[in-house]
Amino acid sequence: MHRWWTPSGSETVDVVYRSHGWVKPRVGAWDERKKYANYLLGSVFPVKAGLGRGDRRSPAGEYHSSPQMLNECRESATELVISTTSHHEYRYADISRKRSMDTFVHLEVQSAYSFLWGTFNPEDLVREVASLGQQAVALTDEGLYGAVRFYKAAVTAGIQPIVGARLFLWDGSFITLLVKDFSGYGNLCRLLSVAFEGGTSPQNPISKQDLSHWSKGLVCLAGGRGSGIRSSLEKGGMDAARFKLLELKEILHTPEHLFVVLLNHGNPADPGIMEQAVRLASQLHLPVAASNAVAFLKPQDFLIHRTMTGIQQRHHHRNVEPLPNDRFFLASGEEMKRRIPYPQAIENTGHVASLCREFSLPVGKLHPPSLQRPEEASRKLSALCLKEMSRLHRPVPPAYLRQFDRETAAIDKLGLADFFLLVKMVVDFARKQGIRHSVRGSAAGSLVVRLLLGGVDPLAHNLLFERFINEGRGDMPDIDLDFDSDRRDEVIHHTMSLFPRRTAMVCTIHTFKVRSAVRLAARSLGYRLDEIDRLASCLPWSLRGRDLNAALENLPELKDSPLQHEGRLIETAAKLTNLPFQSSVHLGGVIVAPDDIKVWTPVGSSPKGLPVGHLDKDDVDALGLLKLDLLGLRMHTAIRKALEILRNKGTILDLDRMPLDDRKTYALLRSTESIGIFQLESPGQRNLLGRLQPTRFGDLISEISLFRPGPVIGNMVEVYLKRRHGEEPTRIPHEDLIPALAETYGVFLFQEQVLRIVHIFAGLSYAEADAFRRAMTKDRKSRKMDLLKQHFIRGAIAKGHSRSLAERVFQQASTLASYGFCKAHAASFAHITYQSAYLKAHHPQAFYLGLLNAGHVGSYPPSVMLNEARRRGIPVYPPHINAGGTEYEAAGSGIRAPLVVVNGVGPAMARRIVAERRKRGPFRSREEFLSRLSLPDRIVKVLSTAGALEGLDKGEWALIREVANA
Amino acid sequence: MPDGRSRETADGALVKTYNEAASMSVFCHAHPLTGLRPRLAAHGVIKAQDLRRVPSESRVRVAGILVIVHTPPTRSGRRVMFITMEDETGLLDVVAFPEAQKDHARSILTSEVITVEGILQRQGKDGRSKSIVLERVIPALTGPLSKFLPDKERNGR
Repeated sequence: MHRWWTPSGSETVDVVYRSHGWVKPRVGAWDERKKYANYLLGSVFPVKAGLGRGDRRSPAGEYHSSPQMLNECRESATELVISTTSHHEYRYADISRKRSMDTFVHLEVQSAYSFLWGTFNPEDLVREVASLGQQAVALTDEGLYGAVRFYKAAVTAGIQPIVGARLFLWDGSFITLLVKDFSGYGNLCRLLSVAFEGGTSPQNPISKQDLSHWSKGLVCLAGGRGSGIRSSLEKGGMDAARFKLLELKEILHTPEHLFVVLLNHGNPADPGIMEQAVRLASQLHLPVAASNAVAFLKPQDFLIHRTMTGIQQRHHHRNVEPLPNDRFFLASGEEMKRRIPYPQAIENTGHVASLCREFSLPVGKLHPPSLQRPEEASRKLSALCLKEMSRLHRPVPPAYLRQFDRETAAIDKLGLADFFLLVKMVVDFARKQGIRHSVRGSAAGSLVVRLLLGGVDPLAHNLLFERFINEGRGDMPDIDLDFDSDRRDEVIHHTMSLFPRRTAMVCTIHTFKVRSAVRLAARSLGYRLDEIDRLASCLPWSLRGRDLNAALENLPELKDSPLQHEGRLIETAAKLTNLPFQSSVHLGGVIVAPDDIKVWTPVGSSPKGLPVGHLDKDDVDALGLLKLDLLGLRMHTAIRKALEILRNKGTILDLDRMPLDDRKTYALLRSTESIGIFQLESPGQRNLLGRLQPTRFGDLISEISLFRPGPVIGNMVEVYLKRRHGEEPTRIPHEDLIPALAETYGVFLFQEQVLRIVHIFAGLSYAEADAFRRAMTKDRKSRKMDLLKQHFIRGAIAKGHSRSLAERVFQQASTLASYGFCKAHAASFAHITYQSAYLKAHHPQAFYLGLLNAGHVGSYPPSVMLNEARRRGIPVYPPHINAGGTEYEAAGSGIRAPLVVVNGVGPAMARRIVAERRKRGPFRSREEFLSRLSLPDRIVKVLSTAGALEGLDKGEWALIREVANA
Repeated sequence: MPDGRSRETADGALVKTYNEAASMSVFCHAHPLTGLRPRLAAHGVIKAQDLRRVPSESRVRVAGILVIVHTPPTRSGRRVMFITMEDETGLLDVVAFPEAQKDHARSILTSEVITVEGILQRQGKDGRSKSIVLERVIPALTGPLSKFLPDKERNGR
């Protein structure tokens, strides 16, 4: 089956054959080109791929081809690229290989997604398979964590991906299952969900019933590494092996898709076992298939495999056996033929691949859940918005109504009303429970979002809806929500209860970073812990793309590092870097599937008991599933706690509805004393505050947007500041650009400005403008970019602008697109900045207490906040057994540190002390304290050193009472 | 004697700092540098708040407890270290360019108390934005906090 993508009628299509040079035939319409592609390629997979770096125009130029040339080109081409004006691109890689195919296919392959076992990423596997000239490959990890990534990489490279998994059975043995069709994929997900139930690693065996029930659409490989059949044959138990195989044949839905695996890793016993397996298979009329149980790509990577299993043994204290030798690599077809002298077994691997050819993951299509009929959803959405609008504005200004119409028209056209209502259900819950929340990202630029979910007024701040949603975007819009971190789990639980059996958390894959790679590799190689500390000293956590060797050479603090002399360790760590080593739960990503989640992904459980899938955020996007990002923001927690303290004192503040023009707040910001203020506390931001000297809300939006690498490197900060302070006149290249650029004194700062410029200046639609912005963010040197540029300039000229002006504006706009900041996001954040600054300016004690009690907020440790509080006249008291407990508390006009800051005093012990004090009054003396609470001597000593027993020895009862009452 | 008294409170502060460092994760009574100030002042080290009175482009010596070192990615690949420190009067922002990092990066990354010499840069209204471009670290006044605190054991208790 060919899944040809069909363009709409108006598009033109370029077909490019790439070989040594470029040939670009411009013949015929789509159908004709498709015919060429078909003729050339036979059966391959069409691909949607981004414009890659290697995909530039021919350095030698392109030319129109004659029919002869086209023929020549077909013969020599190694790659075919089809691209269209709607910016889709399909690529058929390495088409020359189709003429010399290797029949052997690896059907059992475990990548690094079989954590701490396989030694490579799926992309590396695909590359290696392609270089061996093999046409297909399976990935059979212990879960499906790498499946989508593998699928995408394989399809892009023109390799047939076979998705599968290795499963642990009721009798303690393993089998490999491969997906034949989409029902098989769902069944594999269900089986793996059984295996993963209760955890994030496979921990339950699959029962006979489960396998029998869910084996439809799956190909089964039995008798491989770790299987019961093989271990029986190793012991000479032919009958036991036959029994097991018969049992499987009995259970499976399609027994004709049961293959017996032949392995040969050079063990003396292997040929004998192969012979017995072949005999057994023929007795039971089952086909055989050759396999190599791949765990690494090259023989030399066996060492990495050993290191990884060593990490399992020494670090995780697991009982695992590494593979016995280096033969478990991705062998060539030739080598496999030599090792397994049964031609049918080799040929059958290709047969299995063709059995699985039907299967494709539904990548690149949207699969949103549907709650109600579209008309109904749209009606509901309008009613809710209008109600809120009439509550906020009386009368409703016409501009708001016009904006509302514009937005709802786009939302209806894209069928998104349902999605908005779904998000509203989540936010309504938070509102009802009093959980602070805010919208982040481009969504804050939408009036509908504001009316449904709250936030800043997009009209008052000149935000742009089309940055969020426009008709040119084929993906689901993102509405990312921030909640009070301490209460986010309530929101997640509620969201899951709204859609039972259709939700799971997104997973996150942890990869080795340079520091963890060095530490764990050293652990595996047997270094002592103190040696490891010494070796890893001064090593950064991550090197941002640089490799370990370069770091050791260049970073001055590593010049004398003892690591310099550990060649083997460095080499091993460098190979581990960037490989996945464990899966965990994404903190806020919730997938809502259109139907049973378990046909989309296997589902396990997080430590908190939430269902968690095998899809990371990129996988979710690729499959077009709806994902809600319910994030936690500690600043919301801090603000909530500060407001609680004020409320207890009788001060009620409605931070969400107060005007944004408080003078004291801006004066505080101008003083640069911004520790603890959301987004503005970093050294760079403090510096910028001193220079920008904000006096209004718009300045805060600019402040947040200016402090980004782009404007800083482009020296735009200087220009902006000069113009802001009137030291230099505002310059705007053309009067048509005034509406877009006046708000920033002619400096290009916001992504929204790019869209407006393209729209107003070149007369393109906002959808085209956004496509323009996205293209420029991703790959600025692509062919697509050229098309866009021509389009822009044509449009600008049609509007009556000169070509040179058009070129200049294009240049500026395209530079901005790559680093401009989303104004809606900045505005939404600036609102929280303002709220936190207001609290700090007017209620510093409550502000500090809120921050100190909200966990880790921002970039400064508690001691820095306490120091600042002290400097600003708020006394700080040490913890005391007669005051304070697990949190920082108000003590008069000061702050009392909690008992938990004392070394060795945990929350449980602090709670015990507080409970005792509440029950029978304050402690009057050290002896009384000791007798009422039997604590270890060590703790009493530390408490005493910390000053937590002050006054007790001398019987200063007055002082004790004072402390207790403060 | 006023001199003697200030000496005494500084010593008192040192003992308290010692006790707090030994028993807690935060400092409550005072910033740990309060007790070290006389010793720092003797080496010409000035306070963060006094930078207000120092003209831009002057060479200054400041000391602080290390708060964070930030090394943002730069397009050129030249790594700039933004070092935030704090003394008892406020935050100090120090910038170390690659040349200065050569000899000093390791001591910056491994010390708690850091004393640096560098050029003060003031920008913005009234020069409110202040940063110091690092020239060198003063090794005698740089190291773990324990290096500066009285050692009870050795003082013959």
